[in-house]
Order: sequence, then C-alpha cells, then structure tokens
Amino acid sequence: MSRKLVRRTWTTDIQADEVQIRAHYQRLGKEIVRFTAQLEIWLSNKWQPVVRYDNAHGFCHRDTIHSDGSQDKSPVSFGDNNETFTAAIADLKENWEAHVKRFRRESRQ
Amino acid sequence: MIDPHEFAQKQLELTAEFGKYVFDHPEMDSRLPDGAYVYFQVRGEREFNAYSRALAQKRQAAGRPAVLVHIQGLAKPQRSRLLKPRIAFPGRPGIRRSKSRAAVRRRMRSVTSGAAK
Repeated sequence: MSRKLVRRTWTTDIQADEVQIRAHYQRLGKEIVRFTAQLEIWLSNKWQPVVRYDNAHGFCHRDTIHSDGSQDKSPVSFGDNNETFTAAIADLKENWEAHVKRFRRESRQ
Repeated sequence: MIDPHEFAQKQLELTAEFGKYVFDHPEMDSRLPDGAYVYFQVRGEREFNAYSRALAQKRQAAGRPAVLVHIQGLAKPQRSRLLKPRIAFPGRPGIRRSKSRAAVRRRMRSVTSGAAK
C-alpha cells in the first residue's frame, strides 16, 4: 500500500445547528498516525471547540477548551487508537451537555 | 419526531462505530471526501432516519459534501473476551483438593473467617 499521508476530516451533527462532532485522522500506509475527536458548538457565528481528544504530542490526551482560548490538558490512556477513540466518544456521550453548558457559561462571563 | 436527546445519543454511538470502522478500513479513505458531512441511515429506525436526512439536506444546501452511511444494525456490545475461564483456589503444590461442594464450602468459610492464609 502507498505510504503517502492521507488526511481526512468529517463532521456530524449532535444537536441541529448548535453542536457537532469534528473527527480528523491521518493515515500513513495502513496505520492511523494521528486522530482527533472534537466537540464543537455554534457560538458567535462560528464553530468553536469545547473539548478535544487527540494523540498529538506523542500521547493521547484530552483538551478542555475554555472560552478565553486557554486549554487544560490531561493525559488519557485507553489502549490503541480504536480504543481511545471509542472511549473519547463514550465520554462525550456521557458529558457533552455538561461541556456545552460549561463553555456557554464561561462565554457569558 | 425523534427526541433530540435520543438523536444525540444515537449519533454519538454511530460516530464512534463509524470512526473505528474507518480506522480499520484504509479503503474508506477513497470513499470519504475531506470535509464531508457524514450522516447515517439505520435499518428500521424511521424517526432517526428522517431527522438525520433532514439535517444532511440542510448541510448540503449550504454547500457541504455529504456522505451517507447505510447501516443494517449494530452488533451487541462486546462483553468479556475470556474463553472458557476456569476459577481455581491456589493452594500448596501436590495437595489435591476435594472438589466436593461441602469441601469447597469449608474452604470458603475458612478464607472468609480469616483462619486461612
């Protein structure tokens, strides 16, 4: 198989016109070398990231993004890329509303 | 119409499974345009499908390429992967332990009472 780096990004709605997931991956040959699962909300006429899981910087971690642009980074380890991606979405499934409320509250301050 | 919270939960579940599928199937790279809006149609889920289609049409009307993922269904969640596990009580080598129920009960009592190490 070709060793060219393939990049793909796709989105899907969680809440119409308000909340979406943006997923991104980079594949080299058959191997996923980078992935991102990001929860975004529509605020101030643009999609803004609220929480993000990715494996940049050499380790899997979660970025909790604040409305002022600052981020809290916490390492997470769930196994391989598949397991981490699954765990990330499971966390979002459980907590996406809380993340969105938190971000909106910060935006109002 | 489907409850929005129920739709959200379903979307997240399908998103997780679709992501894993794409990771495991490099041939999907040629089927998934960069920047696409992905939506799902699940066999037998009429309300979900109608809402999913409506959202996709809005995105397409705004100029986004859409990718439709038809799904027959979801397999049951994976449980333990252990194959035929056997539970044993570690003991001194060479000692054959009785497997009678009475003997097992006696050993369990001695363990729970702290009499045995």
